[in-house]
Amino acid sequence: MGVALASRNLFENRTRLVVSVAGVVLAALLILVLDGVLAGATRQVTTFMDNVPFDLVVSQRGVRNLHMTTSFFAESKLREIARIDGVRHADPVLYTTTFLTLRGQRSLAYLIGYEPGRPGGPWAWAGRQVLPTRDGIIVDARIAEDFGGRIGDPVTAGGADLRLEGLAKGTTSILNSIAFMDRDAFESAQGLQGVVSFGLITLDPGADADRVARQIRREIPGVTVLTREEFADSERRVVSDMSTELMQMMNFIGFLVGLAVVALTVYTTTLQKLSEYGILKAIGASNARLVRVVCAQSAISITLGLLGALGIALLLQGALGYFGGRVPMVVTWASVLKVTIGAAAVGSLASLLPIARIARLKPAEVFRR
Amino acid sequence: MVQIARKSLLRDKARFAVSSGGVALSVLLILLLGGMQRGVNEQITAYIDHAPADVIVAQEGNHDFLGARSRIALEDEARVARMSGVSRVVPVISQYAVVEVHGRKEFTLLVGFDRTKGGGPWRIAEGKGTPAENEVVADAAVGKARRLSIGDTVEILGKRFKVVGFSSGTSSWMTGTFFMDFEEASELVASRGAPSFLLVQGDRGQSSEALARRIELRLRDTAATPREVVNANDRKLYARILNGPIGFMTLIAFLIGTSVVGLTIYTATVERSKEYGSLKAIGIRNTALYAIVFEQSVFATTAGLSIGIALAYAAARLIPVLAPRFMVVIEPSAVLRLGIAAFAMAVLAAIVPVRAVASIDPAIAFRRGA
Repeated sequence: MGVALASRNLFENRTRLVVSVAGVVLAALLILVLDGVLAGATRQVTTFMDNVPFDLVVSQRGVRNLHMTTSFFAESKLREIARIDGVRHADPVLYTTTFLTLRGQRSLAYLIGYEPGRPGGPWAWAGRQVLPTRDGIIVDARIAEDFGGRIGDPVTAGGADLRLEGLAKGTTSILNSIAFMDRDAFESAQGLQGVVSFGLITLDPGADADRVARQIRREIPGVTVLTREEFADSERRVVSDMSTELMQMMNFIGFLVGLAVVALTVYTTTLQKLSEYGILKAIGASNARLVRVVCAQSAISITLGLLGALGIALLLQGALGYFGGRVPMVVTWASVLKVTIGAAAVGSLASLLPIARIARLKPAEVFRR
Repeated sequence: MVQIARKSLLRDKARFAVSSGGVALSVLLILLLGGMQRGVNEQITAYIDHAPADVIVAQEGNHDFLGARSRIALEDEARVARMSGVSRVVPVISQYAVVEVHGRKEFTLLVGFDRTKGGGPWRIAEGKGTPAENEVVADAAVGKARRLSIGDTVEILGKRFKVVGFSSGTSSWMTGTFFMDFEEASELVASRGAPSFLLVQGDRGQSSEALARRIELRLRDTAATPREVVNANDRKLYARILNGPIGFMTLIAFLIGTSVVGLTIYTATVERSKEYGSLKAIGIRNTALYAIVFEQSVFATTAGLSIGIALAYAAARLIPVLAPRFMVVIEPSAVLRLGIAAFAMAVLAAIVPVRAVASIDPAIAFRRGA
């Protein structure tokens, strides 16, 4: 009964309906988009862990992520790991954070030295797929495009003078991109020998990852073993500590302002209908019924507003992806849930505040007022 | 006319508060997010902005400060100091380093400076700003985040240092800056006394471009770059990728914020359409009606704008206190731009609904009411 009355009351004046729903749409859209950009940026941070094929990663003891770390351990340890039962192969990767210079412009990059043809290299390509030669480097296509770089251009990275040989896709994050080069060339440029930064461990089908990890910890001293998920979690945490904090702060401000706009919108809508609620009270409607009608009315406008915002946010996400994806945006269920709960909470409060005034009155008094 | 407009607006205080509140929230959102983006860019160039430098001299090919691995010849400092038109030369060592703070690794910018020449921290939050042997001045934001106190020790490139001071305004969204004595830094990075950069100040009235050209002609294997160019290069290097998503967040906040301003004023005008109908019914001319509506929307927007700007400035001061890594820079030009956009949106949003009332005959206005 309350819902039917509320919806009749709400849909009776189209202009007011549009205005009240539009307020919620704008507020929820703000929250969903800011959340989506943060989620997209956070997801990009673990792109290496998410896309390179491995089950376990081995690093120097204590090193649990890539960002701003250095990791080196003896390559002989990786050979020992390769002999452990259940390990299919153990691939060495060298790593450093560096500035790469292309066409006189610099960009911060994770530089990966890997064995061409083995895990550790690019997973998606813009153009022809290549294996880096001794004097070649593969950089992200977006960086190359921004700097006006072309295949064959000279690139300086990690102390080596190289040539742009291939363009990878999907390696940029809010902090940097990833560049790939031949492992031997990396060794020569950095003056390294007999060490690796990370070992990417691929297990036999059906092998127990926990058992293998335990065995590596027991038998190989001076290394840390992590699953792919643990490695990604750790990277996400470190970057979040240092960089996405800014976006989190912006997001938080957007969330608070968004909820306040929802509250204002619902409060205004209830105020607009106050005289009608007064009449309901005057003709004998109980306070409980009044509350039901008001709550149902705000629930309807909030639901319509949320659906509208979700639709626009998904369209925006699609459009951003279609036009090159320079701004990462991913609308997540967690964000939808957050905005729904938040809007429902502040919306209920904002609609009940003005109605409390009427609820306190006796039916006869309503007429007088 | 003005009196009618204000009386009508202020009669229902709750509704007036709601309209002004909607505008204020939008203004707060836009100014804060824009201010945070501006703050990121300013933090990146904080060191050079405060350094005594018109021109930065670096190893050949380096035209930025933060991305450069630079080392210049020991004798270049004296060569530049002897040049006419040069009033001050400050050698500094600058290198990124991982600092171990209470067992956690912190990526920092390490600056070695000579206390007699300058180039050290420009604002000290606690302790002293002139580190001696085995001492370091830590970034206050890093110190707060890692619960570092004066007297604690940190490990930098394998050597332990005692924290003797905290510098403020020296952190960016990515790193904090740690300061140590020039000789100490030279030993740590094995530069044998050679600086990474020379910060050169010219005599008053001297063009920094001309000074940079003269220095390049005098020295070999070096690049001399005006401060503004170095700052622009550093911003491009560090904020290029980050500016994509945060610029988009700021843009969305601006679009939604101005839409909320429009919606708020539109709602307030629709709410008063009954009153406008009555005015129309008693024969008020359309120009007078528009004047009233214009007056009301400008009044509500001004109130909301003032509250929003005051709240944004208050938040801009509060945020760095609560979270020292962040800097919010609200520029007067941003406030002006926002003010123009808000007034334009508000007037548009008020005029649209009132056009319907203005177009009807006074006699019909009685019948239609709202």
